[in-house]
Amino acid sequence: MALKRGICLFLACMGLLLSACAVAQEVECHFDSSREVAAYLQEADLEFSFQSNETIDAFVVNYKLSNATALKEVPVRAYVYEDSAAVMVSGIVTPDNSDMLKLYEDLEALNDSVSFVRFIYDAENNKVFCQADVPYVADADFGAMVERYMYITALTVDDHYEELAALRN
Amino acid sequence: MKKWLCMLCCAVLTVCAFACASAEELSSATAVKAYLPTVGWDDYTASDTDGDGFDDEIMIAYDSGGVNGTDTIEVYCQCFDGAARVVSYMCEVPESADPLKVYEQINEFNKNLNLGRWLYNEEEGYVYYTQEVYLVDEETFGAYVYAYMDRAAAYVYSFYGRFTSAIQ
Repeated sequence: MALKRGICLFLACMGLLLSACAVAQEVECHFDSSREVAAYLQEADLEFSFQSNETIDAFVVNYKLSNATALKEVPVRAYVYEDSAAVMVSGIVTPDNSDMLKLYEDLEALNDSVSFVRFIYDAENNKVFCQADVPYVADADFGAMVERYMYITALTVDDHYEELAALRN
Repeated sequence: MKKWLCMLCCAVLTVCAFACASAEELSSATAVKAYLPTVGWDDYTASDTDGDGFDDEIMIAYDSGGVNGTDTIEVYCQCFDGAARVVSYMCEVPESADPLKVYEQINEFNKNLNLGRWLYNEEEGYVYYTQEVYLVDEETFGAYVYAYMDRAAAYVYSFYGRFTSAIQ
C-alpha cells in the first residue's frame, strides 16, 4: 500500500517536473527583451503562444475583453526584437480602396481620435492593421510595458471596430 | 449670526488650505524631470500650459543644424495622470500640396518608422509626431519617455527633407 502511494507520488512529481520543463522549452527567447516579456506574461498568468526565428521572438495573447463592445476576442501579437517590440493586430479589415484619399482621410480621423496606437493601411495586401511600439529599456519593467500596450491595442481595436468595419463600404 | 458666519468662513479657508497643500505635481512630470538630467538634458524647459499651477509640459530642444529651416527641433512632453504624450512638429504643408500625396507619406511613415504616430492636421496645414507613453512604474517612466523624445527628434531631423520634397 505504502509502495503504491510512493509510486503515485513519484509519478505525480515527475509529471509536474516534465510539464514545467516543457513550458520552459517552449519559450526559448533570443534576447533579454523577449525573456522579460515571457517572464512577465507567465508571472501575470496570461495565456500566450510563442514563436521564434533567428531574428525575432513573437508572443500572441488572445484578449477576451470583459468590457468588449464589438469583439469577443482580439488576438494581439508582440514581435520582440533586441531593442524594441512591435505590438500588432493585423488584417483587421479589407478596406474599399477605390477612393484612396477618402480611405486615408478616414484613417487619419481614426488615428486622431485614439492614443498609444496607430492604424496603418498596408497597400500590398489591402488590409488595415493596428500597431504600437515599445523601446527596450533594460531593467525597466519592459515586460509589463509590452503587455500594457498589447492590452491597449486590443481595447482600441474593439472600441473602434465599427469605424474600422465602415472602411469596407 | 456673525459668529456662525466667521466659523463658516474659517472652515472654508481651512478646506482650501488643505486642498492647496495636498495638490502635488503629477508623478509623470516629476519622473521625466528627474530622468532628463541623467542623460545630459539639464537645460529642459517646463511650463504650466493648463494653468494647474505646475510646470507639467516639458520641452527639450535639439540642434537641428538648420535641416528643418530653423536652428532647433523642439520635442515636447505633455504629462498627464498615468501617462505622457510626446509631440514634435515636423513641417508645414503648403495649401497647394496634393492631400493624397501627404497622406501617402504619412501612411508610409506610420508603417516604416517605429516608435511613434504621425498625424496630418489638414485644417491647420501641418504634420507632426506624437506618441503616448503609459506609466507602468514611476522609477522607469522617464527612460521610456526620453526614448520616444529622442526618436522623435531623430525622425524629424532625418526625414524633414524627404517629406517636404515628396509632397511638392
